[in-house]
Amino acid sequence: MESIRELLEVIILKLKSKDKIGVIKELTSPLLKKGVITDEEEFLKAILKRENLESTGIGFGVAIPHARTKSAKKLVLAFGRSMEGIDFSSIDGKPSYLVFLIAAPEDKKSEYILTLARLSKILRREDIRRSLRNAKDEEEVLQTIERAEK
Amino acid sequence: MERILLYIDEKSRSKKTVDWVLKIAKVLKSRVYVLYLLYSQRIEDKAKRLKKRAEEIRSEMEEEGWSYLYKIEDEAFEREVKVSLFLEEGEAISLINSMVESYEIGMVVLGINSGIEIEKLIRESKASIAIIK
Repeated sequence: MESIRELLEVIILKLKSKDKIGVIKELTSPLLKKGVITDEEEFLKAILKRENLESTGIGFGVAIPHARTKSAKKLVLAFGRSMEGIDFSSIDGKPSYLVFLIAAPEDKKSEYILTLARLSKILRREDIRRSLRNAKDEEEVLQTIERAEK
Repeated sequence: MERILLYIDEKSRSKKTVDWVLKIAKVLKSRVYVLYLLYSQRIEDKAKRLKKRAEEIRSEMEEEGWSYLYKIEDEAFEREVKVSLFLEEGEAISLINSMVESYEIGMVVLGINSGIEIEKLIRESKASIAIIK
């Protein structure tokens, strides 16, 4: 299976949006342009349905909105960083600064779950979260992820 | 009942327990807080047995734990049951009691094979306890 670094298609170091739906749309937009997501409406519906049922804000300033849907052509990740923090109804009640959006096709359940698991494990590490929050450019984000996966 | 806590560790993963909780939660319209616990001692023991570093074992067990949690999440999503996932390392009863307080949990559910001292949990917990055989 591909690593998190290999799956990462989009990096936005300074998210413009100030709310959850805005951030999800901002991260989805480049995936649409790349043709990885084919139907914006269907994808947003799927991801927001999950948001209503689950706390994708996993705490420690991290949120992982995710969906398995027919509008995703392959398993991909988009990373966005917010300076102000976004309310993702996190389990610890704190804002999320690091947002990893995961899109997966419906038939990739195992890979999707493994990606969620690996990402959650990596992002529990305080040193990794700090590096991602302080990364100066995309390359530094990729290097941090690569280091975390070793 | 608004909130249910499902306790799991690597020795007490049970499809039957998960099914039961999700069914009850659906009927009661409850949110399920799923706690997957890693035991520090088990990590140390496994590291010694396999002659690996404890950190390496911890990382493997964390990934395994999260995978299990996300499988439950996916199952809950299919049934339209609300869930929140937690992976923690520590002492089971004090963590359960702390979550019962913090999230105002009404019922704690665990499989009979969990390593928990059940009588002590029943005595100390403010929530109802359901044990699934």
